[in-house]
Amino acid sequence: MTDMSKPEIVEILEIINETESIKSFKLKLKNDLNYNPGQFCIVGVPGVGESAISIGSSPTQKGFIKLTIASVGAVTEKIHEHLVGDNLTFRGPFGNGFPVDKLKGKNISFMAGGVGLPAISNIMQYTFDNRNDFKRMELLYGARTPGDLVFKPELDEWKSVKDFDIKLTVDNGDKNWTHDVGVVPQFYDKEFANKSSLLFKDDPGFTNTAVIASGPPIMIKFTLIALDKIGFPKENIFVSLEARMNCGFGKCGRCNVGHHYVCQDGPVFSAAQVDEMPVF
Amino acid sequence: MNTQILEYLREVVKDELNSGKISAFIGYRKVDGISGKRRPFVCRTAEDADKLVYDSFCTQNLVRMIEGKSNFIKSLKQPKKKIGILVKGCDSKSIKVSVSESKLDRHGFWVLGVNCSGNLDVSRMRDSLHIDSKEIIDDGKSIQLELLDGSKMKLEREDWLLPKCIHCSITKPDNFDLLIPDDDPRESKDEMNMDWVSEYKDKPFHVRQDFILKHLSRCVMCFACRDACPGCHCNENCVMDRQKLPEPFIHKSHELKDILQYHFIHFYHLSDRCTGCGECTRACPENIPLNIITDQLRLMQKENWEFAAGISEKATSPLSLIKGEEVLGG
Amino acid sequence: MKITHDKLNELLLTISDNARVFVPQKIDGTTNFHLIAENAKIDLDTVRTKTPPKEIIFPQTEKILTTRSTAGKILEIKEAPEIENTVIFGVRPCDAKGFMLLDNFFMDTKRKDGGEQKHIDPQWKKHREKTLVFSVACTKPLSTCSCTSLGIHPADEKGSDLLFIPDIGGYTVMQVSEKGKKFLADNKSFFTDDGNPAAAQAEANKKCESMITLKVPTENAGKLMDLYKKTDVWEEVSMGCITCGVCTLLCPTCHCFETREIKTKPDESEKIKCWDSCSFCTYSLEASGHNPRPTTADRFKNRILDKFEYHVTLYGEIACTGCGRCTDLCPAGISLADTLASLGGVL
Repeated sequence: MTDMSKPEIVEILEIINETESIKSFKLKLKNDLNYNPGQFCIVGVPGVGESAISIGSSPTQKGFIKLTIASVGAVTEKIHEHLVGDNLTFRGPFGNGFPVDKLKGKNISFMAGGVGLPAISNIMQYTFDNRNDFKRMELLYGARTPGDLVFKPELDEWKSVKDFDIKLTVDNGDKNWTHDVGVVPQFYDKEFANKSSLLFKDDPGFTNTAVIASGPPIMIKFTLIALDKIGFPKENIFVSLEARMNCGFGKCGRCNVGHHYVCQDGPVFSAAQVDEMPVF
Repeated sequence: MNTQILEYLREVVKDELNSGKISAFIGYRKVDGISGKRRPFVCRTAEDADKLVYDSFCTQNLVRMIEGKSNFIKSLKQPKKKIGILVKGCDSKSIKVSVSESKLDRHGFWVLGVNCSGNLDVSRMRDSLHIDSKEIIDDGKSIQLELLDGSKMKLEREDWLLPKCIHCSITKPDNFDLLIPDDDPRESKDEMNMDWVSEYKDKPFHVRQDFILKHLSRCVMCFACRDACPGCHCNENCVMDRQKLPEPFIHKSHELKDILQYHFIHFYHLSDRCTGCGECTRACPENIPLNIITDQLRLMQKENWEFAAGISEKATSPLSLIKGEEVLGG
Repeated sequence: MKITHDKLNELLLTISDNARVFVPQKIDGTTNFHLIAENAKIDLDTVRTKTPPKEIIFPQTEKILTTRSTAGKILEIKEAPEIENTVIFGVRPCDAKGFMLLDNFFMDTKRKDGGEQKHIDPQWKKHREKTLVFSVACTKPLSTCSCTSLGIHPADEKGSDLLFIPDIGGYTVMQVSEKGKKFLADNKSFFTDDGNPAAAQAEANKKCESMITLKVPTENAGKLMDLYKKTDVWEEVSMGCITCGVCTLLCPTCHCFETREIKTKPDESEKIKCWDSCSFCTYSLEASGHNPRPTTADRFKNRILDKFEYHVTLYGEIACTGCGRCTDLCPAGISLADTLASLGGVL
């Protein structure tokens, strides 16, 4: 058993400015990391601290891993000051990741809010790289303003993926905005009401469709409510939860939700599991 | 336990609750199965009032509970009704400090004053005599113990008071709305008897340093001294809890230097608010005599500026007063 | 096996040449575990140390890594030096059981709920392997003691390597673990071959148990989740709680920690691991400002449920030893027995 408290030194290969306060970092590890899409890692700056970040790239992408980091605390602010060629400490991978085998052969609807997209971009990229293993897919993605949408180049790129629809919404649009306007829950209600979502097209009985959702706790809550309303089966909804983390391997205690430690038993839980948890 | 005081307390609280003048009353109740222990208790109905107790084990300063640290207390507030609170002499000073700093609206509270004959230091009794008891009875003159093995013991009351109570200068509260009558109140001692502090203060620097470091080396950084303090107003914005601080402003590595740093931030922030209620020292699970520093700070202000916190609601602390001649270039 | 007081002192001093030896000592009126020294007086009159011996195996603060870095470049990450051999003498049976409960959490890889515990805590394991636990049976309890409610006895041997049962002039020694057996074999000359440990243990249990008055109602452990959403119940039981860390930091089964990065020199920093408490408002506060447990009642609930629900679900045991520290030391006078009785009353 390896010592998960000891980090390795990684180098920043590339920095992409996503929004005013969000940057993506491509990191070079000593060896290619063996991980499941949906797992997370802990990156740190010596003398400042560490932060748990989901691995945004897919294990099918070799030679680097990509982390998308919002500048919200002391550590992430410091990471944002780093330049290409600088070092960070890296520990991981941690957590469980998405149940890839269960998802194979299914339609998948990805639902993301704000900075929640990087937490599922790993599984999205994975499905694109193994496109024939999955059926129809869609992405419903919402953010506060058009400026808060991350992965703009990727969103363009993904347009060419076969049998894959992208639907975007923002709370407040601007003059160039051509997509939907409205907060995420309203957006879902509308999508579900006029049955334009893929959930209703090929598989109206929801027998062979999965939902993968990620975003702030409040968005997850309303997503689950909206899906519950249409009777979508809870075992096929997978969410990536957030919590304050420190050790990453289920020992420091702070990320517990009931008897589950999000860092060890999660961050991916099915809605059926979430239902049994004393949250929301 | 003075039954006369207790009966009066329960009756008057029942009356005030029934008449609708107060929506709740904060007092003390017994803790089942454990001798010499009382805990804060909120009465909302007249039936609750029968659980109220008052005796020399009621140590907690209840003023801490009404300062907005507890959301629960805020939820007790009903329109046009006050919240009642039981206040001892030393606690009444804390109310004044909070009012003078606009942390408390005095009109929202109905203050029931009670004379105090000094609180007993049960934990010191246990630690130094290696005994523990099924029952402790304090008749106002002596303490009778029934030990766990069934044997009996009698102790001199004056020997086992809390440190802050030995030289108490305020056995009777002031600034109350009603005072529970008492036939035989304990007399207050002279204002601020600080002999023990003066003695310590005159010792050489290294002796004082060794003393405080030795004691503080036991600190586990539980922050009970801060959380029990009625003068600590920052609540969840305490500097020790801030996540974003420019390094190396605050280290929280629990090494002695960090422990020292925390305590001195606490001492200095409290220097002109500390009324000497002794809650920090009592709350400390490791018996650290924090009052050696707080009492010195109080003594210094008394000697230099004739100032003491909690004496007047209107007094401004000399530490927050700037005189014309003190302004740079003025 | 038996040992006299003098021989025991001699033994502890002898082994302190090659190991850190901790014994309870009263210093400045407060009894805690301290390193033994030539004239140190072992204080076993005090039933319970203020800080549990957990502080030796799971130190309040511990350096785990040293990193050298300059201007964004990390040059080197060094691990902390090896842990020395350690002996703790004078552990009470409740605290020894505390080590076992922490072993579940830090080192066990089996879980009762079918989930997987993938990792062990490296620091705990290193300390545990290097430490011998010598317990001393209790001869008298405190009014806040309630080990018997949790299935632990005043002269219980569980969790110890050797158990010392006081008798006239010294101790009867019970050999518990293989590590303890080896220690006895290596230090035979200090012990005599007489004494009946099992009989001495039974007698000590009987004598001390008759004086334990406090009962912690544990029959509802495993059923309290029904109360999870009843906010008013938790507000009632946590009434007066000042959210300090006394009940958690000084609990022999509380295990929360935080690792922090501390800059020690311009180009050097240390990663340290120090105690943390779920009572603190910052404990689970996320960088976004969201706090899953924002109120006093929420945090109080987490502490109670962690011990009487979550640990039961994960490992089949209640994470409480009945040592009584939380009840005894709580500045707000909150008693665990009282809390559980009130919760049981509304179930």
